[in-house]
Amino acid sequence: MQDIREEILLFMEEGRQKEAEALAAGSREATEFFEAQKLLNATLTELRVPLTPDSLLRKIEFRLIEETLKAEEEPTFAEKLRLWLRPMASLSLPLFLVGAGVLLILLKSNQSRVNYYAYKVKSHVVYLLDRASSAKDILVFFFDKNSDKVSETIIKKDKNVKKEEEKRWQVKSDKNPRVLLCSFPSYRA
Amino acid sequence: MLVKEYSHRIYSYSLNFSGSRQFAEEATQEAFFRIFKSIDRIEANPKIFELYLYKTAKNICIDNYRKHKGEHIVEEQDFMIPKWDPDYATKELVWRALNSLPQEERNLMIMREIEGLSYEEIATMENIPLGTLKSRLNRIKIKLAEILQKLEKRG
Repeated sequence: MQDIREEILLFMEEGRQKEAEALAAGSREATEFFEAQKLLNATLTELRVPLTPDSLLRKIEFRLIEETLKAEEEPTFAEKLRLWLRPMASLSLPLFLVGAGVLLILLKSNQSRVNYYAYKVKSHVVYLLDRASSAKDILVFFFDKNSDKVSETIIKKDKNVKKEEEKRWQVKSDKNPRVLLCSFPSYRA
Repeated sequence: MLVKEYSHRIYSYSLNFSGSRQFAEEATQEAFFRIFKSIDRIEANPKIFELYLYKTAKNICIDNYRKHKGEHIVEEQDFMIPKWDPDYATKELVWRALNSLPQEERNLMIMREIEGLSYEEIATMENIPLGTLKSRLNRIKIKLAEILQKLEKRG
């Protein structure tokens, strides 16, 4: 029986349907196998999902934008250190220590330049794109999950966003990065 | 551009592999994210890119499968095959048969029969000789037909 099945499969694979049918007609088991195989061939391809949901495309897009922006950030800590230490190598020890102290203070005050915040308000997801810690303006996206509409506005950081609130958003997005990634509108940096 | 071109295939693959829309979305995102991070190392050839993408998605799916201790997640069958589909009953039956295969066998069937990858492409991805792959797929097809016959009889 196994051999007959393999032969039927081979014929079907090569598109020799009539030969496969003739071979299958030999026994009830072979006929049943042939019919099952025919059904599989016709149906399996139909299980392919034709489209990606738009929301998924947006999520991927956002994640890639986020990654691009991260890549465009300032050099990493190690890179900065290497850059700064090179001219300092010729200094005496006390001067070197003072230089290192200044360097640390500078690095600490100049943290990551791109911050994202996300906050859920009922059916809306609000995104804040804070391009630089020193920036006064924050780009805000409002994404309405129900209507799939996106609106954006620029708000003054110091006027409309309280520091505590910013912190809360940061904590929320840190704890649950999925909030940050959901339904981001099409935005080109 | 690349996302639009390839996302539906990776999404379809992950969805058929996992049976979960939520997981398929996560796997598709993650696959593109990983590709993006290593884009410099990938050969600028569409076919190779596609295979690399499938391979990445497969690894993510398998990691998730292991995380769930081998328990196959099938939670949104109605999403896979909408109830209004005139062939709902047949598709649902075939899908159930496919999902009762072990993970590795299901993966090969999805790649070959649903996603339509060639034997050569699958052999490259899975790193197995072409002849071995063909005979393995033949055995799986026979097994799948048997499962389908049993399910049909059971009604």
